Amino acid sequence: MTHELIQDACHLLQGEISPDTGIQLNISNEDVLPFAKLLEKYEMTAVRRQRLLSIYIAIKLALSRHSACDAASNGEALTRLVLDGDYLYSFYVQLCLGWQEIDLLVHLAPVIKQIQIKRAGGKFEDERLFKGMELYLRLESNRARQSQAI
Amino acid sequence: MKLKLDEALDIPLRSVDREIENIVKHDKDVPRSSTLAKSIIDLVRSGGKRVRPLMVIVGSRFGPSPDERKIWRLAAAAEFIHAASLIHDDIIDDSPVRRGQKALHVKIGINEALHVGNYMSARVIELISVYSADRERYVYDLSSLATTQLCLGEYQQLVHLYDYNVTVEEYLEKSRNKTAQLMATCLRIGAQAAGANEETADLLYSFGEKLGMAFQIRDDILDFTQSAEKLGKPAGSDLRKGQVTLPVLYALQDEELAPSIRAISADTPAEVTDLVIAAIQHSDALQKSECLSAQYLDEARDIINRLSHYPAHRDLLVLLQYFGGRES
Repeated sequence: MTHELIQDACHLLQGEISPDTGIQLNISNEDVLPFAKLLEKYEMTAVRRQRLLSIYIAIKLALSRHSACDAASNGEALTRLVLDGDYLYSFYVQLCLGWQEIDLLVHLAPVIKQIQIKRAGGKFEDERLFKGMELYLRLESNRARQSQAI
Repeated sequence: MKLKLDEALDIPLRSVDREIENIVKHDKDVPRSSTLAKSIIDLVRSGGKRVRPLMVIVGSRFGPSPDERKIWRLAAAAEFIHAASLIHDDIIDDSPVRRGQKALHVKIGINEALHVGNYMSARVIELISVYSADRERYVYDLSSLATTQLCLGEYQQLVHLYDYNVTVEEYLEKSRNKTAQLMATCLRIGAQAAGANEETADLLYSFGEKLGMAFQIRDDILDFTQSAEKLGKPAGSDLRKGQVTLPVLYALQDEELAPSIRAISADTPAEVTDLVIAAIQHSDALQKSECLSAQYLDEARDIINRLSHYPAHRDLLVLLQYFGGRES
């Protein structure tokens, strides 16, 4: 079931990305499996689960494209890595806006900023993304439970 | 003496710069002594015309309730996004110099510079959630400043390197995505933040788009007409890097000239390319390009006439004059 979710999310994301970019979702299963499993623990519609995973994959891919820039040579390979990362960082914002995940966007903004601050200083703390998403899901679930209790 | 753009618009550039610097200075997550903070402050202090923030402020003059604090912050955010894209552009273009100084990736390394640019974009997303008073405003401001279109323009440029079959329409679409859209957006978000009505905001967007198109075409012409000394790179450097701009597309319509242009590739010796560039300079391609630029400026002028009941329409005339007579 988790693999099906990952496949569906990748399919959804690939369909949303402009074909002009030529971006292929070559992300490893182990990169997304922990978050896909986490999503399955929370009650939500199948569509929303796919969307949240798509957003997560878009950010993961942006991080991975830009972290590969050091090893890349000059020329088109480097250009594509820079552009892919730039596009995906901007695209996840558009996905959040289009899918009405505004609270998630607001919650993630400082998290992604922190990741960039660390990276600019030579430290990679990309696990902040998973933790940030996990915290968001927990807070959202708590809020839902509280409002039900009221 | 000719007034500078900021002076003609009566907008103190020093205040704009202070607002831009404050974006990083007021970030409690960034130590003042960090390379990140220093890099951004250096970049801001290295100058720039601040066209985009000036356009946000001009746009706000068309609304009934300009909330100065908010407008200036939005203006600074627009420049922050632009500056971030310049850092990444320099990496992509392998440009060693920016505003007379070493480009950031040359100073601190590609990977570090890349993340400085990313920080700047991420910081804007964080700030807009604080600045924007309501949810609708937040969604609008953020989606306006999103740079996906800009990236698409870059991709379009990349796939068409040394592609002499690109059409004028494709060139114009790339220019719209790469340059005009953000300029148009700046005027519109300024207007909307000040409570301007939709029709006015849309007209301002359209004005900004036409101005942006004229600006990009002029920029492509300048690449052929200005001296290497003034450009800081050899004349015709766009074509040398495979970018088929409007003057080249018009020159390709000359049957005698076309074969020598089509023969240029990444492997062509510089002295051969020099001859082709000289031939383009002496053809009517630059004149034709100038005509299209002038056409966009005329259309922009028509929009000013439709907004002439606003006192701020004079600021649009200033912008028009600036872009129309731009030399550098």
